[in-house]
Amino acid sequence: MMQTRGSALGIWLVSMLILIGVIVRTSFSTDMSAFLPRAPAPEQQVLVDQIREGVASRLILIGIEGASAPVLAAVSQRLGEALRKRAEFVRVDNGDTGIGEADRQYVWRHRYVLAPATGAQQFSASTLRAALENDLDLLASGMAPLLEEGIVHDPSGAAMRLSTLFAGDYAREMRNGVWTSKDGQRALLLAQTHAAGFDIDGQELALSVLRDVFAEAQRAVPGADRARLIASGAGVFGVKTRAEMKHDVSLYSTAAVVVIVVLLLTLYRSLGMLALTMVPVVSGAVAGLAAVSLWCGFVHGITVGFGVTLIGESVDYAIYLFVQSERHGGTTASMARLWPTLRLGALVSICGFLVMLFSSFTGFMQLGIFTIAGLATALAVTRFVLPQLVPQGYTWTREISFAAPLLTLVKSAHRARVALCLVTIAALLYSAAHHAQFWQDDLASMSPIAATDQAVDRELRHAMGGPDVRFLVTASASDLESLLQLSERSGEVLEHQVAAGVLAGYDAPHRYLPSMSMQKMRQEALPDDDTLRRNLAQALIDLPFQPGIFAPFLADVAAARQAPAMQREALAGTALALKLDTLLSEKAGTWTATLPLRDVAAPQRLAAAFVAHGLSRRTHVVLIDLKAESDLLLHRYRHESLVLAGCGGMVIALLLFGWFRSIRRCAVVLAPLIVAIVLTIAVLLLERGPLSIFNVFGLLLVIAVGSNYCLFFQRSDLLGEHGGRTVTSLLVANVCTVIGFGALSLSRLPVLFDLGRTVALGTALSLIAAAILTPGLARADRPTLAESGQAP
Amino acid sequence: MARRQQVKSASANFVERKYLHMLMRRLETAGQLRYQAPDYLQKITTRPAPETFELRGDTVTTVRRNGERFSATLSQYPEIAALVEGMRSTLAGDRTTLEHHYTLEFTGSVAAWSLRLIPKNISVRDQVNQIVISGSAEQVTLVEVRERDGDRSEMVITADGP
Repeated sequence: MMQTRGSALGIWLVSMLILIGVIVRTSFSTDMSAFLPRAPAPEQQVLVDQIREGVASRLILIGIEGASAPVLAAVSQRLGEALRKRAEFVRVDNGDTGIGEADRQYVWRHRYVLAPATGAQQFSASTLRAALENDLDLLASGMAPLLEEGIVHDPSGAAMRLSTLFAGDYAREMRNGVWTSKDGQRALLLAQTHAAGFDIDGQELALSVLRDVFAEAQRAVPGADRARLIASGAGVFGVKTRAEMKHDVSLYSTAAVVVIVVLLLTLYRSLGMLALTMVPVVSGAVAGLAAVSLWCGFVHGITVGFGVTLIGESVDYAIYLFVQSERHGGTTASMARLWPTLRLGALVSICGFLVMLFSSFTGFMQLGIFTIAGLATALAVTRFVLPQLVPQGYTWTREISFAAPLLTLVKSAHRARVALCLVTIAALLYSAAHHAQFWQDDLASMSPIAATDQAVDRELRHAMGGPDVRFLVTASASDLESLLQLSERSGEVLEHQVAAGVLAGYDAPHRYLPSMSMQKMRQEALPDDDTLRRNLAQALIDLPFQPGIFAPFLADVAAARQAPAMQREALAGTALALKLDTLLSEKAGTWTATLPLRDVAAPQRLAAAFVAHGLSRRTHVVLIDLKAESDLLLHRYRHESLVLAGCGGMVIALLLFGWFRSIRRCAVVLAPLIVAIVLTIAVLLLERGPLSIFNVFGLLLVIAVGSNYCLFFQRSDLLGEHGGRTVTSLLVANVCTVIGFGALSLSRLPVLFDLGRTVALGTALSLIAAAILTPGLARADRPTLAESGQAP
Repeated sequence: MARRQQVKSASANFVERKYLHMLMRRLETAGQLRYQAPDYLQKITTRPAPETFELRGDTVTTVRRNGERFSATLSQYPEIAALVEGMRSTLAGDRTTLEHHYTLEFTGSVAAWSLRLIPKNISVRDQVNQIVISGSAEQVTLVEVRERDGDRSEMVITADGP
């Protein structure tokens, strides 16, 4: 006896030390995309990539308000200048620089291979004539100082047109030299972070840099002390959500732990016993963390928060053991009596959580691993270690005042059977009547972003000319040249569709870097020196230009005809290179181009046009509607979580059948569970409207935890000598679960609120339904199911 | 200067003649000027081609006859700033801004005055030698611009029609 005692304790201590060693070396991640799925379909991968690291995910929309317009402009200018010097930002626009000097040079030098209109007609006599007449107009106009010597090099204004095209076609409001909202009350900036949107640490750093720099700018500009900074964007939301999630999980978990500790202290009146109750929980948490770390290589911060709450179920084990310990034989006897039920209960829970391993959400998968390892460990520790730690001869001697009335209540609970059946039927009907609005149908339902923040974001986006992409075309190829050619072919289709009003505009990588073959074509389309000279002379007839002043133009065209093809390196140091980087990507030998589209009015026509030009999935060109994809993605999640919850229920039913070998007995355990789930769904619908997929995961947990109560209610001794204690221990265990999850439902974040609410409600209803529905509770003399079921 | 500050809004006709080294003959445009204190200046060209040129705060916007719109800020384009700021600040009687940008030389009498502006900024002076604004009492009647490359322009301003 002493030897087994020693070895169990020894094994426990040694494994705990090893597991703690594993945990110490674990990296903890807070990447929120753990709650995005792994490996979805290709189109959805584009969506997930966009959410994780696309340009849109890197944008911070900045507004400055609360001061006079000139002060706002001065702050905006200082902010822009200072941020451009910081490595955390790759691009900061506030309208005060326009297109940069390096870009102007690039465009100027390569204008004849960049210009889309280059063709045989470009330098015909008549086109040149029209261009020269236009130049005369310009010279007379207020824009004359901008033209300068440009005209004699570039009479057709190719560079000017390119600059306008590249600078973007949004007409933003400008006041005092910077972008402002229409009413001028807010100065606007657009910053692109170096860190991807999913890199919350990087985003947090960028945001704190932004705040510091703003504070400096505020100090430097007189009268700016009351100016306010508003920032919005995917990264900003990510940072905010993570902070809120961290805060809520730790606050509410701590609150729950405190309440549970107080509750248990009142019950035990012993610090020692309280500490012992925590032994299985802590061991389980340690094992769970280590298991996740070994399996996934990292642990998500949120997993820890949820997981500890989940294995709160293991608090129950010690409660059952202690509260039900016998006068004769102490915990050893109560363990012998409890073990079959505990074991089955834990097995049922583990089966329930097992299906979470198949979730596409890394976060939920980790939660599954954590809970399974944690529960198994907590169970083993309760069985083999805990009885050895309890003082010899420990007996539960305190009489609990509410035990007797509680038992009476349970014994008479069966009288509510009819009422419960009626309520359940009503709940079923209510849910059926709401089948049309059963599910929340857009991804926004999962969005942790507060409505006010979303409104500010919409406002800023609108004022900024909406860098808000819904439709895009992606093309992929094995090398850059083929990809640029694909981009050019797509661009040709898009150009026609823009002219036809199908969409408002687009952006594409070949605009900034044409393919070699396109460059060659444009070079070859340039007229030879003699032809150009002739055309120009003809165009100049009767125009007042001095003779010979267009010699630089002739020289530039001749040089452009001979120039070597330009490579990507030619863009080095320009803002256009950064723009190109966001439109081009290379991963494992595959080059991908993204062409964002603006204001697509007729997606079907656009898709048809692409197909008509031989551009389709077969040629690796795909038109993507991100909104549709995100809806699809949501449906996929929901379908998956439903399938998982269904599988979980099925596996549990099979397990119970294998154990009891009687459909009737299985039904006795499952009926209260089913009733509880039906009622929970109805209450959730009634209270909050359509269900989210977090509700579904919550229901899965209800099945896993609630089934334990149903099992315990079947135990033979419920009505015997220990009846009062068993019922008391069940109630206390459930109250602990309700407190743990109920606390989470105080959070505003959908994932915490929905999960917490569902589990708290569902488990409490399981307990009540089990008390009402389990047969034989009223008659003490009948042999009970569990007892006979335990016979080997 | 002080007198100019009293003028809250004004409008007048103009005829502008440009003599450019690139061209064999001068360019002539005509239209209306509008000024609204303190910083709004509009130049509507009616012939030969319609064009609107607007200066508000430090943003200039031009809309050409084909509807092409161009917007820029003075800080971005000092070349434009040098030309328009002299005109606007004179109309506004804003001596501080004038002295910020130019060295001032005032000659003549109230009835027939002339203000010579020489840009302080060296890179601007590379393009614009001087601007001479002449007038009578609070009326500006002539704006002449001389550029370094020999180009010059004169804008004759006459009071609004009946």
